[in-house]
Amino acid sequence: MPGYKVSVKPCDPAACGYRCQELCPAGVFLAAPKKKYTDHSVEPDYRITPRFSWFCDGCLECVTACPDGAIEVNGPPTGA
Amino acid sequence: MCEFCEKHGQGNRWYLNPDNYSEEMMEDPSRVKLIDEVTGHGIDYYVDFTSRVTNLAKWPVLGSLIKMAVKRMAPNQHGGQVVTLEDSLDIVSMASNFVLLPCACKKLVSHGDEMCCLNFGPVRDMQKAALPDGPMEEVTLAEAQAFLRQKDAEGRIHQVLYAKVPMPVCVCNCDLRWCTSFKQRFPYGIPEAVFKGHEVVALQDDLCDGCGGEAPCVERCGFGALAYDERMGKVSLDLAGCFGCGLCRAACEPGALGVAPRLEAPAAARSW
Repeated sequence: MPGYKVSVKPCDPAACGYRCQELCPAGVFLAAPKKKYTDHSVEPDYRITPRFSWFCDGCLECVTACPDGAIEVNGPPTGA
Repeated sequence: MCEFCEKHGQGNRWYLNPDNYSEEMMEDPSRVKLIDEVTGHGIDYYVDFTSRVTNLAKWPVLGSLIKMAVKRMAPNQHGGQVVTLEDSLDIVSMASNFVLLPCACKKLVSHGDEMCCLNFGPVRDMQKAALPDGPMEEVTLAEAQAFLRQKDAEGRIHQVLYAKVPMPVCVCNCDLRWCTSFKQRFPYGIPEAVFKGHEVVALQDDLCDGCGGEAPCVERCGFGALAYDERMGKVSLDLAGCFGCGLCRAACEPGALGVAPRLEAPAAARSW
């Protein structure tokens, strides 16, 4: 993979409806639970993390779609 | 020989040994605890945790330690192996208490809901206890088989998931865009995230005509194991990349693609 580096600043994904996740063709973003697991009945609160950024192919759709401007994608190191 | 089959297969593949579906399997408290942890909302935490751990494999020294730890721990956790449609139908014919649950990977990766996770055995009752009002759909054996065929036609990869080897608890119908198991396997080569299947594709060279350059099978293969060779006007196969899902067969009009046991293909026999 080309080696794009994706970073996400803290944001409120529930407010925009997890737009980056729905758009990303490579499935880079993971909604990770914020707090520790306590029991099943508590629906976790999620934050967006670029856990699978290895798969990013640099289409930059997430960057334009993010209403908070929280996503940053840096190109692969030169020579790649 | 596949390590799991050797220990738990009784001469057959581990997931085709009826003993592994028996009630006795649930006498193991660590298995009960594990299934309880990965039902309901617990699966979200589980995916988060495992993907965080496997991502550490990218660091030079720490990475090899992590890989060793994963190798040791994986069989006692929740993981899977790719299966063909035929094997997945055999699996459901041995199981009971079918229930469709929303795919956790799709929920966490693309914020979508799809009831494509076919669970069976103890999962139904444990899921009911964990999330009484959560989404679930009980299905009969015939419906489960029809569901697997339908997903196969849609190009979904089947995976049999164990909750602590050797008990199969689920057949997942996966799309590589969401599947967090494959996302953990590919970047850093961690085979324990999801094992290759017991079969590999066998390509009959003389029957392949490349479909006039269109070669629909190439697109069907999510692993990039098939490629169209322009000079020859035929499709070529990279056995090392084949996971043995068998999906490409449906796209092959001349019938040049089939499956053969992995162990009989020297190039792939030791790659799981």
